Amino acid sequence: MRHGRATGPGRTWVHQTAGGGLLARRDAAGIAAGAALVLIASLVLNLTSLFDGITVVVTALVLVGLGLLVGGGITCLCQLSFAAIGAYTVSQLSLWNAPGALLGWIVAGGLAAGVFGLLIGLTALRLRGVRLAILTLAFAALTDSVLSVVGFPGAAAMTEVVRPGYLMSTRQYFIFAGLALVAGGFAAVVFSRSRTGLALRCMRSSERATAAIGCSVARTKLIAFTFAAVLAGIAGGIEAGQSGISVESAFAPVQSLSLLALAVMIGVEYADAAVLGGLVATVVPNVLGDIGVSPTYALMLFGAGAVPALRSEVPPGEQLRMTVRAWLRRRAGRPGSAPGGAGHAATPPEPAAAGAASAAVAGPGQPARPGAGAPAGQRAALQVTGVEVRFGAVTALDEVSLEVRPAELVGLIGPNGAGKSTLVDVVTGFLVPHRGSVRVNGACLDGLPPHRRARAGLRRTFQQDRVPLGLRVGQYLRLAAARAVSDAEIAEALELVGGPPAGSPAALLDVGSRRLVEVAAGFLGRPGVLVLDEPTAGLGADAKEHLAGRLAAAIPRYGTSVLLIEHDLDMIRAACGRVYVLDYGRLIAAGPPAEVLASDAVSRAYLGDKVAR
Amino acid sequence: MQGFVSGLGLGGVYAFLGVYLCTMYRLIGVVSLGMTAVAGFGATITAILHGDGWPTAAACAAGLGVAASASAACGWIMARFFAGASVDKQSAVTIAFLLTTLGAAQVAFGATVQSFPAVIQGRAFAIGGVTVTSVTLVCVAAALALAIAVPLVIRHTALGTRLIAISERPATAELLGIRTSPVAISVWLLGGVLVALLLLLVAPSIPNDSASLALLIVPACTAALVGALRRLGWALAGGLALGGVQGSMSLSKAWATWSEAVPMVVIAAVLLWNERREVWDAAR
Amino acid sequence: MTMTSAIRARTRRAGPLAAVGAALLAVSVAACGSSSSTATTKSDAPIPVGAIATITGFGNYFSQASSGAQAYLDYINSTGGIGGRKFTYTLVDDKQTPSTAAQDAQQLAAAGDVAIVGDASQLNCEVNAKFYAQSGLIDIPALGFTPPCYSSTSISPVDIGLFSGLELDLVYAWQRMHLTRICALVPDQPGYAVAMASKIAAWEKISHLKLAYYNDTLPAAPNYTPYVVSMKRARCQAVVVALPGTVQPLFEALGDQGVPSMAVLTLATSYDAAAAQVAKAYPKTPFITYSQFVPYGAATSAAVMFRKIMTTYKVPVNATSEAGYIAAEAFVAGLKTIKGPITRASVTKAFEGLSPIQVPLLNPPYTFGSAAAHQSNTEGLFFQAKDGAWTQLSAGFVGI
Repeated sequence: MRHGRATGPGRTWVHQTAGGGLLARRDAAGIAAGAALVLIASLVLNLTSLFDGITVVVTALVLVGLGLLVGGGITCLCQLSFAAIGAYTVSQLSLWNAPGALLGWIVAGGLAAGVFGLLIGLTALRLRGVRLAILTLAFAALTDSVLSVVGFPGAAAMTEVVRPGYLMSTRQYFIFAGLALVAGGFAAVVFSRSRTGLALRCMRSSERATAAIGCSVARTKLIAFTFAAVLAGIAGGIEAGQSGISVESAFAPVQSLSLLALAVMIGVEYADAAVLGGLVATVVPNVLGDIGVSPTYALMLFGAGAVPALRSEVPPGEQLRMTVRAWLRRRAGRPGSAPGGAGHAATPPEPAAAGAASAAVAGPGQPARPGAGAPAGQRAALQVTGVEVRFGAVTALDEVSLEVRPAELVGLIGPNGAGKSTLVDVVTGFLVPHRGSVRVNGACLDGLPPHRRARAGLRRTFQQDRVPLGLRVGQYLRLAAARAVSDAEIAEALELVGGPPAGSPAALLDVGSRRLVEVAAGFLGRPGVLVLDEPTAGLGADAKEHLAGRLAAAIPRYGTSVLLIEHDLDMIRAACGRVYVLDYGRLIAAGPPAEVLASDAVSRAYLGDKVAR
Repeated sequence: MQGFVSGLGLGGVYAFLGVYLCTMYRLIGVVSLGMTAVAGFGATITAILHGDGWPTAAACAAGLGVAASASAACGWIMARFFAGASVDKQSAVTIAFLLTTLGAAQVAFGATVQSFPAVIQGRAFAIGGVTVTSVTLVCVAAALALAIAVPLVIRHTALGTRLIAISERPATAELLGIRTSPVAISVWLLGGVLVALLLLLVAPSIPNDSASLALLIVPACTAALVGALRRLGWALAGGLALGGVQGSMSLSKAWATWSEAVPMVVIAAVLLWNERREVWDAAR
Repeated sequence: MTMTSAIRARTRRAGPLAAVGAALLAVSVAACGSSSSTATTKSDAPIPVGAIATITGFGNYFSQASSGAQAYLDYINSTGGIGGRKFTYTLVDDKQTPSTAAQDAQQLAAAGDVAIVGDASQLNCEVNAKFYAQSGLIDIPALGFTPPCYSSTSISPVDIGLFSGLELDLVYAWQRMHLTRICALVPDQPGYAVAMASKIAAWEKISHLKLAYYNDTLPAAPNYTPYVVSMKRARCQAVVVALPGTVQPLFEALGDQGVPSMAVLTLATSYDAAAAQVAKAYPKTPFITYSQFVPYGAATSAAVMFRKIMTTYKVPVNATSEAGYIAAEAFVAGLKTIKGPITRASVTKAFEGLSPIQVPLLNPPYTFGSAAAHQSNTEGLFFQAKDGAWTQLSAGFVGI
């Protein structure tokens, strides 16, 4: 349940999307709790523990940045190199006695690391998965080799980083570092709720889907890398201030590797798990030493322990969060509520879809032929002219032109391999080398990348469903809407297509439900044109019928025209005003469904030459 | 020039390892970051046994056996529990292998300097006054053999087809009745033997403590990266170039600091150029 | 962040009143201190001694030195201790981190240690030299790795160190081997280049020679081939190698590039059985190193006792543990010159005023004193690896 005022249409309660409202009562409580924890710890712990505590905090801050990247499906093996750059900057600025004192130098260190994060992010635009991981590893080795020769500024002369008077004691420095972690963790939480943050998590499942809902993949990756690098750089700067003289062995590639393994093992996608990770990295070797186990065994034990931990379905970090949340819920006495957390919970409250959904889904009486649309002569919603695609000697599309009028539901059918999905890829910008042009509501989209086309009002769904599994349905819809939407609107969209409740995690849905969510997402963006690529594959007969009817209602409701690609000819017959037929890349028929489906040419295309009417 | 040739010894090692990594990635879709650590562990066992008086052949056999079984164990863990897991999970698991092996090596061998038996000795020929050793030739030849044989096996044999199925669509392969586990484990095992053999050959001429052997994975990955983990020929060339450039830069005092930086920048440039069309992640 | 800078900061901010208060406090503390030390001699309170070593990480081999020191102190305890008091030995880990090394020193000082003996840490001298001086602690490292170990007033190691060790090798190659084309390879670590350069300059002055080839940009684990090629071009007759780790790749490279007869001289850390074994496969290449102490395998009674004590306390017998053993010996020998109670103050005073004392297994006399720099040991007994074992080359100790 939400706190405070009831929501009305058009009002978003906290969180979400570009624009204001990123701060909530829960956040303030979380920050206060975090700061309180830091202060209490500073008073309770002894000096040695505080010293270790600073190391825990620094590691946790690095893990926060790393967690963001891992959450986006990016494996980064050079996180500590960014930290080293931060430490280097702080050491150098201290040596030069640059203005700003330690705080200013640490910020500068973060920014310097951010520059390198940006550079690595640029490589991520073309490299993915293991390749990107290896590139980051090579970068880690590179910084290590340069640093081991060059050394940190001041190291040779044993000149320590200068700390201002108010940060002299270990206790003071611990408070400073702890507060920096709280700030950094909070920034990460805000980021992960923002449009870019959600897009990042969306990207983990599919970059195409992310672009198709209007988010620039390139921008998201660059921002993610830069932000993660800045966090690591700040952590490195804090470490430089603590140790006075930095050593490159603390930032060695093998340490970055260990940190990634730790991050994945613990599931550090949120700041609270990052703290757990920091504790594990620092405390475990100490504890082993205390009980008499040689620290050389620590490495072995960590490696051996990581494997079973990686196996667990729910990573320890997530388990911790769920436990804390459940405990807090019990304390609050209200199911579904969590008034501030000891950690830094990031998921927004689940809107109670069932209760808040408004019933109105259709406008005034539905026309008999639902997809009839506006009469010809008005400016077309989608105008595709002369599209030609060749792959070497093979012509995938040959001079295809079609048109979707405003408020029209047009079908596109054809046997497998006819080129339907290729056409959709071309129209939505995923397939670049082609001839022909695409216009939406008169605006020419040629040359625009997919996310720009999406923002210009041309949306699509994918044949292979691409709802990101890491998000909840409501979060995804909010992201796809690309505008401020109320919970009521989301619920309405879901009800319209017959989809699952907004609070459901996408990973737990069946394929059919995910398809419906994608359709809802498409409409919610209020595009001029929505291209649905086989939306009913995987749905039962009832659901198909329901959807067919709902499409008719959705078109006037959202002011969207639809190009529907389907195999189910009954659905086409029932729902579409006009149909295009594609065969071997060429349009062989166009017109009202009854006519088209009765024609010889179409039968031959589907059933082969031998069969004649 | 002399510097470049003198770096080819290590370059040969990088080339073989790089080609092998590409092969492993193409066949089973995984890059094991702990590969050289595990193989190095076996090779070090050979050195110790040899130092204890075992005949070279027996010591080698024992070391290779250890490397093979350890690699097979890694492969089994990977196939059994993490088949089809995400890239970061799989990377984390191979990192765990690396760390465990490093730790075990520290415990078992300490920092004692080992004397590796020189299995192959002899000089091959000289270029510009620098002798290229037989070992280097063997490395390059082996890398070349792999680079030629693997694409042939993949394209022209039933085994190759099965392997590609496993690496690209493990679930489908399973449904087709191709048992992915034994194949994957065999690839790991074979890899362990091959890499351990290579390390035994080259260990006398390179830094051969446990840490250095384990960290060979980094230049190996860099070489593999030149080929974008796909093109074996590029990986071979990349490995040789990496060794050579580092060799030539190490002699100039001005450049010595950057002897690792320049190759990486060049590799990144080459790689990004080769991959410039990869705008999107998966296929439709 | 060391205590020294903290103290400095606080006193900066303090006013004159605080200074008076501090003076009063200091006087009372001194008074209490002396009374408590009188109290201690009456009881059997143990003599706390500490050391810092690298225990975690790949430099941990050298922590055996501290084990050697501890074994010797245990042995002294078993014979009744000093003045009826037994030693307690605390070894702390520097975790290869400067801040931890600093913390360790503070921890040992706070625990009341009277001296630091037998440490083997690459960071200790650099990080803690000033702290020791200010806390009135003396430090007798077993192994000093960095220049500050040999240029601090409170620190006097028992070993030669890498820098003077390089010079010793150069002297031997010139003076005893009568070579003229000598080369040197030095790792590129921060601070090494300058220290090595000064030692090389000192050698060039006495030998009137210049190094035929010198490279101080080597990475820690290098590919030796390019350097061998350059040295071949420079027609080196011998190369002094100051790198840690295995020299097998160097032997291979020398053989491959056609200069197997180039002599290889290394530092004292190579004087152990494993290194000689490595050289067995390369009989053509003279492999020479030195033992900076009386060899641990010697037949002298001191060496026999060393081996016996190491075995009793289960410490490996090698040159590294020997270094720690000797450091502890030097410490105890110095303690025996103290007439009154043994406290940090009296220990420091004794060592600051120490006349050179003879310590078993250490060839030159051990010195401390109040000079700004200490280097007791500048001599080595030279050996060549022959058939898997070290054969003595020089008749006696060769010094700089």
